[in-house]
Parts: sequence; structure tokens; C-alpha cells
Amino acid sequence: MTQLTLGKALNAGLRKAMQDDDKVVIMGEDIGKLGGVFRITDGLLDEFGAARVIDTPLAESGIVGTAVGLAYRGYRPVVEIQFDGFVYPAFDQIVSQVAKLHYRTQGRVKMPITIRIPWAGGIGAAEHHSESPEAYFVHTAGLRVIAVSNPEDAYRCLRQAIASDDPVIFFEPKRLYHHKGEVDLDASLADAPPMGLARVVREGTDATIITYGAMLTTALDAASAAEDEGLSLEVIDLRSISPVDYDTVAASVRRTGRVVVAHEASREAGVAAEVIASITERCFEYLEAAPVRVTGHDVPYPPAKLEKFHLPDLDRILDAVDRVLDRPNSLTGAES
Amino acid sequence: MGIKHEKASEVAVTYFGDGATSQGDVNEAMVFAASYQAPVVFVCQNNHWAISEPVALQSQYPISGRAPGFGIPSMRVDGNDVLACMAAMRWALDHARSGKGPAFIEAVTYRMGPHTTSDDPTRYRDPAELESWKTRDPIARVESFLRGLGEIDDEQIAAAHADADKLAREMRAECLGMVTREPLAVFDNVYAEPHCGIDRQRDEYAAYLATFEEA
Repeated sequence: MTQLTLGKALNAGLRKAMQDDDKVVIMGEDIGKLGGVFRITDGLLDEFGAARVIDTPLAESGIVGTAVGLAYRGYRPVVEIQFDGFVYPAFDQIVSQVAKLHYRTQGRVKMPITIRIPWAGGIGAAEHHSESPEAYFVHTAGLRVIAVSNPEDAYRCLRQAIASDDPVIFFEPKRLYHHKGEVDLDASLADAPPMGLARVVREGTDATIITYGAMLTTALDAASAAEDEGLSLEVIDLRSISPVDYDTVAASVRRTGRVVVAHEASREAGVAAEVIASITERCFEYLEAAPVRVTGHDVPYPPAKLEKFHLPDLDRILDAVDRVLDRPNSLTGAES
Repeated sequence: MGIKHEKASEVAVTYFGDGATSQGDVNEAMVFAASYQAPVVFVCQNNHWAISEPVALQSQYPISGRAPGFGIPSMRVDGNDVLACMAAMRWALDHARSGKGPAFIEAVTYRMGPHTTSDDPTRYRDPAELESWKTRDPIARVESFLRGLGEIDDEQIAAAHADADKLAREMRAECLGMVTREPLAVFDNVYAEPHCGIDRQRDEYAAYLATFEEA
């Protein structure tokens, strides 16, 4: 095992995927000599050359469109979208071409494209640099959507995404790029759990917190704090938000009967809404309380000085836990 | 770009209309093809109309004139002249194959019919325009050219027409004869690999359909 930051784990994952399959090419803005604005592609140009590590013009639709052409030709393109808020110019290519070509051609043309997106807030960035656009892609049939939360998953899931014959939108929580963890660099994908499998990160009995990405850290902090009050919270990292591993989710909900779903993205028609609707369909008779969402507000991503009021934090998660446990909370007031 | 990396001799040819040239993607494609000197031939079929929008709304300048601004040599050709189109395409393919990067052809023609069966060009087109283009039919022109050369006779022309009619008949019959696949086929090929979400929806829909069989 090796201690790596999440960013270095992604770099190692890209390197391994490129070593394992010479059809893997990576492309994006500033990914060559600079190594990407977050240095995720650092050193890859020197190792693999300009034919496989491709600096691109500043045109996201053109980048993804070029990846589509490369996929037609039998390549496995890995695209870096520089920031979450820059993906929208590529939205038409992703939704109209990447997601649909396998279906349109009745399986004759595969789109093994991985679209990496440095994602979400908490780094004090300017507009367009802190967004959580995952629900758009979750809603689109034909795409798989992964959101990692730690170096080990980052290394493994990125390699799995690249090896997948389906297109994968791969969200990287940029505020965790420098978080460290143990990674087994020699781990074989053949023995690895499937990319879409959720993980019970912390076991508990009183309620289940379901989350993904950087919010996992906050949820685990909340679970630790709740333990001090005698509460036992289970925490699930979805890892894949399309499709969602409802077997793991439902098994937990059937034990705890109480659910909080947390994410940074805004609320309306978000991932939490879908997860709670699916839990309700599958486990209604096990629920002891209405599930509760803890999300970003339905506002454009606010300026840096305001983002702490937008991002769900430990206290907002604990307030939601109080709600599902019928304890005094922000809606009932302290006296309840 | 794959062709270029492999040093293969193929060329990627992309066809689009005058309307599409206003799209950002067409312009981004020209930027990428030029930047990477990729062997791409852009063929714009300018038929003067994008449903009811005239080409002047898409471009106030000959469309072929845009390509040089991207660093792509271009040629404007009479799209109703079969031999001119063939020569232009040969030039473009040779250019792309020789490693000089992309080339652009604008073939100028005319949309004789409506855009679709629900379109009504009489609402937006001058009938005189249509009449003037009727005299420039590319098939009639190539026929009269070959006759002039003495390369073709009535019998060959009749045979060509018969072949074309037969092909059209067969295509219509095939279209009309297309069968609707079984309902669960709607779920096929959404993904290349197993997907628990789609599998569940397929199972639920299959169970729903089964209730009709039992009834």
C-alpha cells in the first residue's frame, strides 16, 4: 500500500490505464506541459507523448466531439473538463452523441469515453468553478456517473471507468484533491469490486446517511459527533450515482428505518430526490420517518464568501438526523 | 485524429447543410481539424434553404469563404455538376491524404422539394426561383453531356432509369415492411455492459406486459 493524495491517485490511475491499453488517449485544456490546472495529468506528456496526451483548443464541445470521433476509431478517450462549470458547452455532444450512439447504432458503435470533471465547491473559487451539475447527467440515459470520495476509490474507479465500454462522467471532488489515503497500486481490476457498488463506510443502527463525493467527509464527521450524543449512524458512500446500488442502500434502510440524503448540489430534481423516491418505492414499510434531504440551496453557486452558507455542513446534517429521529430540531424548535 | 496518429491513408468526410454552418460545433470542428492538421474533408451541401430560412440568414458571405479563416483551403463548386463535384472531391481527398490537413468544399445546389411532408415551401419561396433551378437538374445535365460525347445511348439510359425505379421500389417496400420489434427491445443497447437500473426497469415492464398475456 502507498500513501497518496486523491490527486496523485488519479494521476496514477491515468498512468496505469495508459500503460495497460495503448488505445487510451487523454485530452483537454492545459493537460500537457502544464499537467492540468490541478496537475492531475502531471508527467503524462513526457511519458506517453503528444499523440496520446493531447492539449486542446478552449472549446469543450469540440473536445468531446473529437473524443467521439476517436471512440468511433476504436480509442478510449479520457477527457478533462477543466472545471465543473465549463461542461455546459459540451452538454449537447455528451447528451446527443456520447450518451446515444450505442443505442442509435443498435450496439455497433461503442462510446468508451471517460469525462473527468473537477467538481463542486469549498475551495473559495469564482463563479463557474464550484458547481455540482451531476443531476443533468444522472437524468441522461446511456451515461454512467461516478463520484469518488477517497484516493483508493479514485485510483480504482478511474481505471474501471476507462476500461468500461460505456461512457462515464467521472466527478472528482476538487476540495479533496490533497486528502491522503492508502492506495494499492498493484491491485488488479479483475479482483476489484464493481465500479457501481456502494460502500457502507460506517455501520450504525439509528439512521442512515447516504451521500457521495466530498460530502462523505462531512457525513462521517457528523456521525462521529452524533456518537458523542449516543446516536449510532450508518454512512453510505454511493460512489456511483447512476446507476445507484439500491441493494446496498435498501439493506441499510431496512435496518435503520430512517434516512438522510446529503449532497452539495441544489435540491430540486436532484440526486437526493431520486434516491429518496426509489427508497420509498422499495422500502416504504420499513420507514419510521419521512426521509430528509440536506442539500445546497436552489440558488446559483454563491460567491466564495457565502459558500459556507450554501454547502451542507456537519450541523445541517445533524439537524436532519434529529428530524428523522423525531428529536428537537430546527423545524420543531428546541422545546419539542 | 486517430487516422493521423496511425499514419493511415483514410480520410474522414463529413457532410452538412448550409443551415448547420451557423452551429458552433461546425466551427469548433474546423478549429480542431486545422489545429491538428487532421485528414478531414468538410462537405457543405448548400441547397439554399434550411426549412424556411434562406442561406443569406446563415451567411452574408459565400460559405466556402469561411474555411480559409480557419486555415483550411476551400473550393466552391457547382453542386449540380456531377463531374465538377467529382473533381472537387478528388482535390480535397488528395489534399487530406497528403498530410496537408483538412479541406472544405461548398457544393451549391437547390432543394427542389419541401423539407418534409409537413413543410409548405409556397409560404416562403418565390416559385420563379424553383423554375430556374429546374433547368439545372444534375441528372439531365450529365445525361446530355454523355450523349454529346456519344458515350451513352437510349437503351443504356432506359436501363439506368429502370434500375433507379427498381431500387426506389425496393427501398419503399423494405421501409413499409419493417416490423416493430418486441416491446422489451426498447431497453436494448442503452448500455454496452450490464446495468442494474435498466435491468430493473426492463423486468418491471416485462411483468406489466405479462398481465395482458394472462388476461
